[in-house]
This record gives sequence, C-alpha cells and structure tokens, in this order.
Amino acid sequence: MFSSSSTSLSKKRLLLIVGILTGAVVLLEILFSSLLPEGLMTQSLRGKCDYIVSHPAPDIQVMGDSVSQGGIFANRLEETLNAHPGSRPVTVRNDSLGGTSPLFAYYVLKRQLRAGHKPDVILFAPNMAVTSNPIPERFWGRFARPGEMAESLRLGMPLSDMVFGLACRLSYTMRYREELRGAVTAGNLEFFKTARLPVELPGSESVESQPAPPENPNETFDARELPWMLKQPFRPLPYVDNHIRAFIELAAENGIHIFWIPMPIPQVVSDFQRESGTVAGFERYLQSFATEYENVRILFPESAVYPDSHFKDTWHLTDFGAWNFSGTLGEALTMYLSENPELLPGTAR
Amino acid sequence: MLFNSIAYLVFLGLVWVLHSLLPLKWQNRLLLIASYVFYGSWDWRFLSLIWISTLSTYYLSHAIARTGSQKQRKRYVAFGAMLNLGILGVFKYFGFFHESLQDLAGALGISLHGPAIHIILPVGISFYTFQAISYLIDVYRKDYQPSQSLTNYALFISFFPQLVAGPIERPSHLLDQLEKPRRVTGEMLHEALYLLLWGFFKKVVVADTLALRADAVFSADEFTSGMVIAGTVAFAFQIYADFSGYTDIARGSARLLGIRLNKNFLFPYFSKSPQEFWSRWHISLSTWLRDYLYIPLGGNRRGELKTYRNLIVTMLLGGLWHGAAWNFVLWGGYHGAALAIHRFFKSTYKSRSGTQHSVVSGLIKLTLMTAVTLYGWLLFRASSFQQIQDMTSGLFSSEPAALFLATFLKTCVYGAPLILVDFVCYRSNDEFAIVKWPLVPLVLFYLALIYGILILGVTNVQQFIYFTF
Repeated sequence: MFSSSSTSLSKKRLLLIVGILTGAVVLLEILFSSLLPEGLMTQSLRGKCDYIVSHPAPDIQVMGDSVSQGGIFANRLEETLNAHPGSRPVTVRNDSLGGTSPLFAYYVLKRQLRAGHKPDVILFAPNMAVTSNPIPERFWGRFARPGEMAESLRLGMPLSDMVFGLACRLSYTMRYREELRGAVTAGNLEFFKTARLPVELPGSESVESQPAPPENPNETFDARELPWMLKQPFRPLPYVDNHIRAFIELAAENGIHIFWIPMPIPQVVSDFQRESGTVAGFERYLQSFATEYENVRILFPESAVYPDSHFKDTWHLTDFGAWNFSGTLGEALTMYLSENPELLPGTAR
Repeated sequence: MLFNSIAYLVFLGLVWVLHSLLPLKWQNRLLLIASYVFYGSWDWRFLSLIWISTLSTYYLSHAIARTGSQKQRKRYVAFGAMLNLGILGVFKYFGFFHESLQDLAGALGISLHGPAIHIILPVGISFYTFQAISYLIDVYRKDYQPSQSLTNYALFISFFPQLVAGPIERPSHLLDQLEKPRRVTGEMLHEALYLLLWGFFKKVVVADTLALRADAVFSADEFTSGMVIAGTVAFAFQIYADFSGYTDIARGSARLLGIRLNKNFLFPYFSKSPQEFWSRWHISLSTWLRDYLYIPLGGNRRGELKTYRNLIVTMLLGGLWHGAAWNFVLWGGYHGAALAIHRFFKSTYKSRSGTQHSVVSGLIKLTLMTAVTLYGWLLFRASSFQQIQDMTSGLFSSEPAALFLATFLKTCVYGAPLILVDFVCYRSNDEFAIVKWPLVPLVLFYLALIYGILILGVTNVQQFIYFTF
C-alpha cells in the first residue's frame, strides 16, 4: 500500500499529466482543422448533398455508393430510355455518393423531399458488402445533422459507433486517419493536394460516347487478393436493415418507385460469394423486399458477372464496363417501363 | 468484444464509472455481470462451460476442505481436474486427435470412416480451465482455503480483463484481491493509463502492421534465406506485440478497477538462455506448468536424465496447450530440448570453469538465444510440416527476393519502439520506468502513442493471436 501523501502526490501528478495531455490534443486538433484542408471526399459528399437538395429532382435518380457512382452513366441511361420517345423525355441523374452506405441514402432522400424535390423512380444500387460494414464513423463524422444522429440511434445504431463517430466529428486526425496514414507511411500527399479542387457535381460526367475498350484485356484478379470486405458473409447489420426499410417506406409514402440494382461483379468475386452462400443470401434478401414492399422492384435477380477487364479493381467498373452495364440497364428499364407506364407519369410509350 | 474495439472502450468506461460508485459487495457483483456480458458477447452458449467449470471446482474445493480422508480428497481433486480437462479436451482437441487417428490408421492401411466433427473452440477456454484447476490443486495441497463466496470465486474464474487470454492467475493473488476492499490509488491509475496506451499501441500499430508482412512471407510458395529471416523476425515482433499488448490492456483495465494482475512478460527478447526466456515469456503459463506439471513429475530432484525428460514432457504439453496442431507440439518439444541442452552445457561449463560474465559472452549468448527463439517462431507460425521443411531449406538459398527488403525495413521501423521501450525498462529493471519520467518527455511520449494509434493503427479490427489458444 502507498502512504496517503505519496498517493495524493501521484494523483496530483496524474491529474496534471491528463490535463496537459488533453490540452495538447485539443490544441493540435484545432491547429489541424484550421490549417489542413477538409478531404475531397467530405467536400464532394457535402457539395453533392447540397446540390441534390437544392436542385429539382430528375425523373430517375440513381442512389448508391462509389460502385454505382462510377458504374452507371446517367447520360447513357437517359439516351437509351429516350431512344423510344414517349410524350416527354426522361431525365436521369446519378446521385450516388462515393464512400457511403445505405444510411446516407435515407437521409439524403429525406433532406431532398423536405426541400420539395421528388424523383419518380430511384435506382437503388448499394454494394452488398457495405450492409455489414456501413462506415458509421463517416456518417457521424462527416455527414449527419443532430436530428439525423438521434434518428440513427432510434433505428438501432450501436452506442459504440456513436462514440467513435462523434470522436471523428470532433477530431481532424480521427476523421482523416486513413488519409493521414497514407501520407505518413507512403508519402502520399494526394489528399492535401486535391482537397482544394472543385468538387465533382452530379451531371458532370464527361463520357458522351462509347469509351475505349480496356487497355489490358487479359488482366485477371486473384482470389487471394480479394479485399476482406468482399470475403465477409452477407449478413446485413440490423440497424442498416432498419435504415433500408425506412428508406423504402419513405419512398413509398411519397409515391416513389424503387428499382434495386445489383451491380456487376468479376468472376473471382462471384465464385467466392457463390461458394460462401453470399449470393444466395443476397438474392433472398432482395426478394424479401420485393415481396414485402409494393414499391420495390428487382430488374436483375443477382449481380451480373462481367469480365475482369471491365473492372478497375475487384469492386469498380471501368468506363468501358460502366458504358456496357448502363446500356444493359437502360434496355431492361425501357422494357419494364413500357409495360408499366404508370411508374413514370407522362412518359407512356 | 475485442480489446482493440470501440465497443470495449465504451464497455470499460461504463464498468469503471459504475464500479467506482459502488461498495465492495456490489462492485464484485457488477464485475461478475460485466464479465459474463463480455464473454457472452462472443457466444452466449459458451457461458454454460464457464458455469460448469466454476460450480464444479467451487463445490469440489469445499468437499476437499471438509473431508478428513486423504483418499477422498485425492478423488475429489482428480475428478475436478478430469472434468475440466475433459471439457477442454472435447472442445479443443477432439477434432485434432480424431483427424490424427484417421491419418495414422490411413498410413497403416486401415480405413477409419467416421463423421466429420467440427467443434467451435470457445474463446479463452485454455486460460480459465487452467485457472480453475490451479485453485482446486491449491486447496487440495492446503496452500489455499476455499473461498466462502460463490460470487467472488465466479468472478475469479471469469474476471473479464484476463478471461480470454490471461494472465493465468492464482487464487492467492487474484481471489485474495477480490475478497478484500480495494483502493484505486493515483499510482495505479497512472500505471493503468500507461498500460492501456502502450498496450493499444503495441497491438494496433506494431502487431497488426507486422502481421501483414509476416502473413505475406508465410503464405508464399517459395522461400529464400532473406525472406525466411525477415518473415520470421516480423512474426517474432508481431506475436510479442500482440500478446504483450493484450496483457498490458488487461492489466491496465484491471488496475482501473483496483486490481493488480500478474506480469506475463519481462523483456523476453533480452534473454540469454532458454531458461531465462521462459522466466520472461508468458510467465503465468510457464510458472503454472512448473508448479502443476514439472515439479509433480519430479522436477530436477531425480537425477539429470529424468530432469531432461521432465523438461521435454512439460514443454511438449505446454506446446500442445497452445493449440491442437502438431507444429505447436513440435515447438514445445523444441523448447524442451533447448532447455535440456542448455541445462546440460550449463552444468558441464560451471563444473569445469566456474561462472564467467563479460559483455562479449553476453552478446554471444544473446545472439544464440535470439536465433533459437526465431527458429522456434518459424515452427510455431508455419501452417504445415511441409512448410517447415520448405522454409528451413529456404534458409540455405540465397536467391534475392523482393519481399525481403520491404519486410525487413518495416519490421525495423515498427519493432524499434518496442525494443527501445523494453530496453529503457530493462536497464532500470522497472517496467514502469517511463511513468517516472519528467513531465515534458512523458507527455510527449503519451502524445506520440495517441497519435501513433490514431494515424498508424490498423483500423480493421484484428483478433489477438492468443484468443485462439
């Protein structure tokens, strides 16, 4: 045991250390936030959200993450849909937000509807891997407003995610730890260089005509190099499921039809996920929504398998892959809409 | 709920606040509930195994204390040990022995067909089983009076900071603390802060980063000497940072609650002999094996040859304790042989020329012991005998390998803080030497740890290696 005087001395010393340490951390974080730029992803996320909320909604709005952001060309889709003229041309806009999860889609739609901008149809294309890894710290740290934070807790988000997310909100280092890690360990300063560039806004796609075929058609992916998120079994977290349901119900209340679009995957991912039962689980999950909600439709029951040369990595399509997929999606959508013209009022073909 | 997760920090914070508000009786009840919640967060079904272990050893210890018959006491202790080892055997080793038997029969030309049995390994079972057995044996040996409180005893078996990967505690150390009023001093809180920060740093910065390098080498198809050495050194740092990081977090968490857990590591990579290594590496297991296996086998009291046998048998079983795989048995046998050989040379050298100490001889011994330890880690980490053979042959191949330089450099950079801090503490023979630093360097050290964890820490939560044992 320690004598009372040494105990009180060490308590005083500890309090002093904790005090100085806290002060130093606060000071450093204030310095970082004032001197270093916000990340491009954050700027882009906020910029795109502002754009979506402040502009009239298109007829068809694409919502998802980076996979659908680069994998669906709105102008290609628009071109295909308008190739069979109806009473008015259809407008399409890709409002997918890179680096997000289905949580974001719900709150973006909510903000958008509150501003009075309602699309007729949503092409909802979240990546199935993010249903079990929904990046809650980005939601809390870079996006959510107080009311949305409260709602996310009501919809079942765990307390630990909230704590981590709030820490990300308050601390620049935590918010951009991945980017700072890249800067420290690999000298990658891209984050600091690009952060001041203007953000990419919806409708600014540059691809107007068919992109060039892939440079290396023989490139193949190795099963051993699959990212861990793609190897995870398909097990949506309850609170993500709650948010998806809230998203669908909000759309239903506002008369919005949702087409759930599984994005194409490479052969190696398909093989892995088929073997692990992930594909079957995802299919069942999709079907359960189509059965339960009248406003949900499934155009493709499962992810199409595209050649490896159509992908930049095991997740994202190249421009060439996206061009092909957008064409296929446009054809399927045209056919569906011609049989169900009530989905897009005033466009009967 | 892994230690290196936000969920654990929230959990620990809540338990700490509630614990500091409650009187002792309620403190222990709170800790018991918290420990079951913590364990149940992995798989609530395995709580039943902890309860079987707790209740059986608690009531048997009372039966042992009550009976006057030595024969009956022996029966009780044997029954308790068999029951607990039986559970451990079924859940940890059944599949291994089943497969080994099938392989052996196959090699003899006999076909044994049986259903494939896959049993999930309950996390921490090896640790709490050994703890429960040590309690029973201590009561049997009359070294310890059985606890009169089932709550306190249940907490001794399931105390969450050390439940899943030790340190394996003795009743005279942990249970005694649980039964007495506790006082959290400023010194304990400061040590807790140091242990938690340093433990997290070791786990998420050093261990998880080097794991990627070691995994890359150990999953290769062909090996060269540079690769094998770099991969093995990376793994040596990984496993030390991982396990000692876990232990530090466990000890830091316990100190917040006014409880001191045993040391499990004492600068093991500065050891100059196998004997010294085992007095510095996983101390709670090696002393357990010494007290409950090596000494009952006869220890060093029955002549040199039997001492060697006892050392090898103890270490073989110690190896098997780590996991149901032959490479762990081989690793244990290898260290047993190293202990026996060292003992042989030590007695011969001592009897002929007495004890000599010099810096040069110390460095030679350190280098030799490092080589012995590293080859041991190769045996430990390898996924098959074939890989052990391939990597051992690879040690004699000098073809250049791209993996070598990247792995070696990363190991040096990430291993350096570990060696530096250990060296500072080793030189002053005080594991908390840094805590006593003047204010400014101490705060800078803590800041470096905090920002190291935030920026360099691997964010994808990785399980601790010893959770699987």
